[in-house]
Amino acid sequence: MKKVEVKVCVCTACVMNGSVEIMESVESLRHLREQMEDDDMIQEKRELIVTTDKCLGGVSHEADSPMVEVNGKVFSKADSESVMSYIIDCFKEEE
Amino acid sequence: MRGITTPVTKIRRQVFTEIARLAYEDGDYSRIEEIPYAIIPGESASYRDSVFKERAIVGERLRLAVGLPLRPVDQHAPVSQGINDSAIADMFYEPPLINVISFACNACEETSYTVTDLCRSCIAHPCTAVCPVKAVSIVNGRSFIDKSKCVKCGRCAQACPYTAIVKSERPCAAACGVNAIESDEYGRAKINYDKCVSCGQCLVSCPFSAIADKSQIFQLIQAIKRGDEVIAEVAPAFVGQFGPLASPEKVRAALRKIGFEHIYEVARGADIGAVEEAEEYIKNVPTGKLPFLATSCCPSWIMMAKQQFPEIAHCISDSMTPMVATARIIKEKHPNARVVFIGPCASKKLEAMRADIRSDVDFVITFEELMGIFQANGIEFSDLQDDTGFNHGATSSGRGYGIAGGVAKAVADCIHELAPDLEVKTDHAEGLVECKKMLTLAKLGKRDGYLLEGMACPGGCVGGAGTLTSIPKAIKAGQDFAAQSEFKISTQDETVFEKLGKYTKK
Repeated sequence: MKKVEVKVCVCTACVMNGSVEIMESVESLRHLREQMEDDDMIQEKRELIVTTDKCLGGVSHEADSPMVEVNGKVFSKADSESVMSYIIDCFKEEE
Repeated sequence: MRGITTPVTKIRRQVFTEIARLAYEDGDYSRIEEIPYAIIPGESASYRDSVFKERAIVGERLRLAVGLPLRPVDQHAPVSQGINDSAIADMFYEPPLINVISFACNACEETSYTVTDLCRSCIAHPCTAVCPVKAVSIVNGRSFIDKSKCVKCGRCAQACPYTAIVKSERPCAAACGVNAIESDEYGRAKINYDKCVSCGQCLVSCPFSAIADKSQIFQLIQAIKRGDEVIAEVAPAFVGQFGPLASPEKVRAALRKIGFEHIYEVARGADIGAVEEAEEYIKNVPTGKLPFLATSCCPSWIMMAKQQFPEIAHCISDSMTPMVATARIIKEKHPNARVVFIGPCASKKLEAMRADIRSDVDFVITFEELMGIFQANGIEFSDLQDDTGFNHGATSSGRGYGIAGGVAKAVADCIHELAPDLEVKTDHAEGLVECKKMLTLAKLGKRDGYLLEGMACPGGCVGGAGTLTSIPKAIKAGQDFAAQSEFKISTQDETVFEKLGKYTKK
């Protein structure tokens, strides 16, 4: 099964700017994915993997917080809506 | 909006971080004038109609964060006016605690019912038939509400088969359980301070970020800088507040790193309070001296109960709160210490100003404000070594005080231990509207024999105005921490009995 891997930075600046809430909105997509599969909006099953990774292995980045990475694409000053819609696009993407 | 990070949340938190940074600088604090430009950069507005207005609002928030009053809108005053007077190592406060920044207020309409475009002009139009004041009629084939007649009973909205009639409320007033939000001459929110009990729910519910409370972080940092012996007492709701990397042991380590010499759990004071309230119940309720006993740890709940139900005020336990008990334990051991209560609560700031408590608690700050201090210090939890001082800490009962229902359970468990044959009924309410309903029943004699717990915030302290984490996450984290306690019930920790009656009397 193809994977959608999400890494959320949980450094102090990112937590202050809502990275935990972004993580919760990403987790909420598991249920939505099932619903979209039932409605045939998603053709192929994907596995959603959510991990925390302080500063995505890099240096501190207060001005860019919160930071999230989805399948290698880095979101600076991330917000829930952009991250969620990108993940949904990854779900829908065909081979 | 709890549990959702919005631009409003971010600005509120950025203000705390920037004020903490400013406080660590020395000398002249007039640099506060520059902070609005750091928080609101650029030349064009991002949130409101004007970038100048955005910065002016941030200016007011900065003033409140250093403890200063709002500026009068019609007089010249720099943001920094008075800041050097507020840069002291003591509590700096003049009422009110909770402030409406009037020019940030959207002047939302007070509660009203409106017919929306979902109205299908149906033939039945039950909306008209159920209205007791003939305010609903059919105009141009569609339902119409005459607001001058409407008494806001909501029957039309309930009757509509298309849910086409909506109730709109001001979010601040909807969050206020004591009807303290009124209007000024421009229709903007105005707090009636005779009614307000400082729970802070309005300030986290305003989508225009127009309400804020005063903070003491600026003065606390002055005390830390001066080298005072600063000791923290952390409320039970602290667990899980600072992100996934911040275990209770890491939070201890972080507090030490920013200058706290010792860290106490307020849950220890809660253990004493639980046993004392259990004894108070056993002494008074089964013997008929009191019809019921209400717990005393939430100051907003107590204020509301005393204001609105004076005839049953004597049924509220007169024990001091866990904050005060813990502070007195600290002061006994460390007489020169400055005690800092760190909690989720706006109302505790006011409680600590009371004449009989002032000498016990020196500063009160919230979790959100503390996170600003952590950020200003460059604290990263993953870089810190665990500080295991919470071993031999509070019991599961005491650690459960931050979650709605936890206080009643703690006291009832103690009653079972102390008087196994006694049957005790409990009830609890969260949110002041529900608290009022519970006390109305109690007043009518329908809660006789009960132990009653009231919490002003939905979810209990974990839903307080100064929290960072969503309520479900905080509850889970709090329960996990409570499960690690050596003792489950306050009475099982024998050291609690040595402390009874010593720290909670007025």
